[in-house]
Amino acid sequence: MTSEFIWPFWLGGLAIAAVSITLVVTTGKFLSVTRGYATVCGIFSRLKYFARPDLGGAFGFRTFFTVGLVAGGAIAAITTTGWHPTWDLGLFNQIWGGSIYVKAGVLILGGFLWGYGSRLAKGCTSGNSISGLSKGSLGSFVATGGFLVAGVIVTFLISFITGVR
Amino acid sequence: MLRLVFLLLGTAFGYILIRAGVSSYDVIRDMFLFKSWHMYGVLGVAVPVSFLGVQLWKKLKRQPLLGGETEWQVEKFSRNHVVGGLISGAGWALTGACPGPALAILGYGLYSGAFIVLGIFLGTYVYAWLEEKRSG
Repeated sequence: MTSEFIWPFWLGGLAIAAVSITLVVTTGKFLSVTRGYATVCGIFSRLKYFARPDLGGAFGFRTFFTVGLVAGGAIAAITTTGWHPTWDLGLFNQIWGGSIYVKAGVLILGGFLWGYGSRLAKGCTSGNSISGLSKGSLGSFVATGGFLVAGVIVTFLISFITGVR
Repeated sequence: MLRLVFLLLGTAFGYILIRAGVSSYDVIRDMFLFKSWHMYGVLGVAVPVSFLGVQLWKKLKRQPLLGGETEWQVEKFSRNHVVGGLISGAGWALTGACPGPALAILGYGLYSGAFIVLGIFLGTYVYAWLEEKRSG
């Protein structure tokens, strides 16, 4: 991800807020990416959780949002540097080494923690830190604190153990 | 119509998550190590602006433009917000991406995103499976 294509922080922040507000004003639904993961799971699984009415169904609107996120990422590449698929992930290889198995293990484990943790906390950064805080939810405030506190602790631990500063 | 709006806004959001720099492994790492304030700046603008917009809309007491009701109800605070928040934060540190950016970087062309997305699906599935076992 080339840094010259990254917007200044205020523009990025305004754009994210614009999506959140537009979604509420037009549809009355709130931004929540992880609910989209849950509806996609519903395509492949008959578990009752995925059939909850508030999720909107396996091929419902939240699944379409999930598909849109991938498409939007591709458009961002095509309109800036061009679409050049790569295994690079910033400093990741320097920190964890170049093994593809280690990379798969660390990233799948990290994703698992996100998936399980965000269902427990009822949302990820979009669902809690953007949507929940916009509604003034105490739970979302605490969850956001949890994201940041654990993120700082684990990142410092990894930095300390691996020696990559 | 609802699907179309979500598809379009999802696409816009994916594009924005890349351009805002919040999908970069190094940006997330630098945020947690307090080496860069970019990410705090993005959140520091996004959260209050979204809050003000949504609260203003609530004051107007209008129906959503596409009809229906707005989901104003809020999850009651529980211990799960603490535990789930901490578990998620550990995941954020390991992957350098939130669930949204994980999908966006996959589209952007970073193969590694596929591992993160796979992990999130697994975690979501295991939660739902445990819920089903608990409720019998």
